[in-house]
Amino acid sequence: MLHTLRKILLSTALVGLFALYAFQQRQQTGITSPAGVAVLVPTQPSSPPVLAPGSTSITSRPSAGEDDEDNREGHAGSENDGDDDDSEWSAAQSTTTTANRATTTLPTVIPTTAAGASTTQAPGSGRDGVYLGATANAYWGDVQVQVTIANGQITDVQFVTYPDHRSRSVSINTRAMPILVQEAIAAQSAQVDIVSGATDTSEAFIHSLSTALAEAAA
Amino acid sequence: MIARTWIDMGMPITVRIDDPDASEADIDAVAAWFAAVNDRYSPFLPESEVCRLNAGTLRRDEVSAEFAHVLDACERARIETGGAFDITRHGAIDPSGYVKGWAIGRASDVLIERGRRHHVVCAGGDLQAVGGRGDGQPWQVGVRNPFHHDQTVKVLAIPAGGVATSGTAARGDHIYDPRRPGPLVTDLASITVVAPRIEEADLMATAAFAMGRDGLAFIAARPHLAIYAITNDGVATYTEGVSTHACR
Repeated sequence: MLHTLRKILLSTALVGLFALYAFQQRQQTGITSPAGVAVLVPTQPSSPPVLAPGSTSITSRPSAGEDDEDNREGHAGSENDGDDDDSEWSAAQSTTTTANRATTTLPTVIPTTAAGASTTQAPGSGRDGVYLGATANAYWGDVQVQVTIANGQITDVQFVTYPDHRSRSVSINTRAMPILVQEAIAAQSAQVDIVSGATDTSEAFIHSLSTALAEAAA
Repeated sequence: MIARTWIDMGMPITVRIDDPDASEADIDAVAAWFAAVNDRYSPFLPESEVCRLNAGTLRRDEVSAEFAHVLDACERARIETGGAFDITRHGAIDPSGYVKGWAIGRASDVLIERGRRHHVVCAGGDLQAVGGRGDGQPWQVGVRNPFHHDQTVKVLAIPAGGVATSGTAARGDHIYDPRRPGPLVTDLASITVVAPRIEEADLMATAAFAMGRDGLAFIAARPHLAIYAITNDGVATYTEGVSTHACR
């Protein structure tokens, strides 16, 4: 039973991935992130969508980036968004699969809302329609996206579920995005100039001080 | 290169200046600045503006222009973070959470005004880096292991920018979520935020830590910020490229 389920999940993931790959090939101008692409399946068939198991990364992009200077990793558009005092921030997260990441990304299995899907229709290569992604536990909360494709282009991405206290849907555009990845922490031996860490109390504080002094003297 | 570490505002402060003509007088100026901030904003000194405001012997419209700026910045931060950053507690204010980052940023400004182009000012684990090291390399900023304080678990290459870390190792539970009274519930062990300025990095780290898991999304939504967050399971979630983060 479990075995069958796994088979189904895997094949579903493969279909979804292929569909997205095909879609990407057509889109080229769209997402430029080195990370993978969101795995989406159409809403029309009643079969629930499933995200591929495997490494995950979390992507995010601002909706406010009016400039077209995308393709830069991580912090694109900072010159424009540097003073983002607007409390009405809107953002977007989508869970993506990752491929060939150089960092030590941890494998993470993404739970899905309904794992009992027997078949999943993948979208055609950019076929017009509205596609709902799987609800994914994106580590800091559930995320679910809905993508609208018109004339073979992504015209809108809505967040059906989003870990925001002021829950509401937020829109994104398909531009440069900071990407969150994961790794297991490990002690580093490299020499550093200074250390950032939470302020300590009593013993820890004294310890911190001594290391700070040692660093200063180094 | 000259460097000094001392204690003020109840925390270790380290300044390093790589400019060839740097002098002890530069560091003295920074030390004088921190001492002045401590006198003016300490919640432990009865004559500080903070204490007089809380005691009711000073009215909000009587505070100094500088203190008014601090209070305004705190209020903007409260709005920006949806209430996760709030200096009001039990009816009294304690702007320490902002003053620290602000003091670091202004200390760096003091050095810039003195012509020092390559320096780092670190207080209580938060820092502002300027101009890269004297050898032209970015500042190598270690992220402390929240579980083993003598270890660093990440090295960030920061040409310039503010780096702040909030965590449970912080003094007792000085970070709390004002919207959720009671003990702090989070599985975040620490969160390090990189921003162009330490003022923002500091308050964003504080707010994000108070938010717990939601804090990661909160920071990720701001493309000019980068994070390195560590959870109690020893896993780090971080912005891709954070190890070579460049702030302008």
